[in-house]
Amino acid sequence: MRSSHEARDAGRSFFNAELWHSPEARLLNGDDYPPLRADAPSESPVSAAEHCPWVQRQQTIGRHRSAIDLLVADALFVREWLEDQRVTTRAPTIVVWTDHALAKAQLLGIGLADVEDAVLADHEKRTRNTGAADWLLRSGRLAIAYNYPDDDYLAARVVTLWRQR
Amino acid sequence: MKIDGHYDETSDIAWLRFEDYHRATVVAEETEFGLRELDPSDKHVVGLEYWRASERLPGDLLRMLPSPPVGVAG
Repeated sequence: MRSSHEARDAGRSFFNAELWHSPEARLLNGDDYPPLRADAPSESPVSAAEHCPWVQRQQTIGRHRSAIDLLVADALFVREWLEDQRVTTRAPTIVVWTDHALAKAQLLGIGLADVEDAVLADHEKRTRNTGAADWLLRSGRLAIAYNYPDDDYLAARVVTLWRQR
Repeated sequence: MKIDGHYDETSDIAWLRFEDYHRATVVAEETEFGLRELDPSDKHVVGLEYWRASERLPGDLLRMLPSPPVGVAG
């Protein structure tokens, strides 16, 4: 099975080279299906088989399938890109705490403001998946595990934290 | 042995602290279950933090642990 990127590239090459200027583009634009003609004129010498209605129909179907591949692949690509953008560009603007993280920070004498400042300032430096939360941020000797509460990308919820060795 | 700790049901984290737990000096390292907290002087374990505690610890133990004290260190 092709990846979405491979399908996209293949589809885009075909689209740019041929489909956009072909009668099949009419179908994508909502025009009627192009009629099949056994005696279709050609500007260049072609084999007799290319005048066969069945062959022409198969070619047309193949082109339409390529076009559909292109559209699906582009849609997948755009969705992946948007997902990447959502993850990489949106930074939280507020920090909330679980009861555990709050109690632990207080017990260890870790300043809440220090943690919050680190999360807000260094969100881009986080790594994925610590097991306790979606994100892990290491700031000096401090490690902070946090996530987005309820998929709210403007908030960071500190799940736990610790001093590193 | 004296054991302190709490269980936060919302984040599903259980935290156990043993004797010799010095809050100012303790350091932690990640393990497969969560965190192992060590005394930096001799590396002996002074605390354990379990992530996804409900999958790893007996329910009887979790029910014995208090909820995290909010607003008061403990």
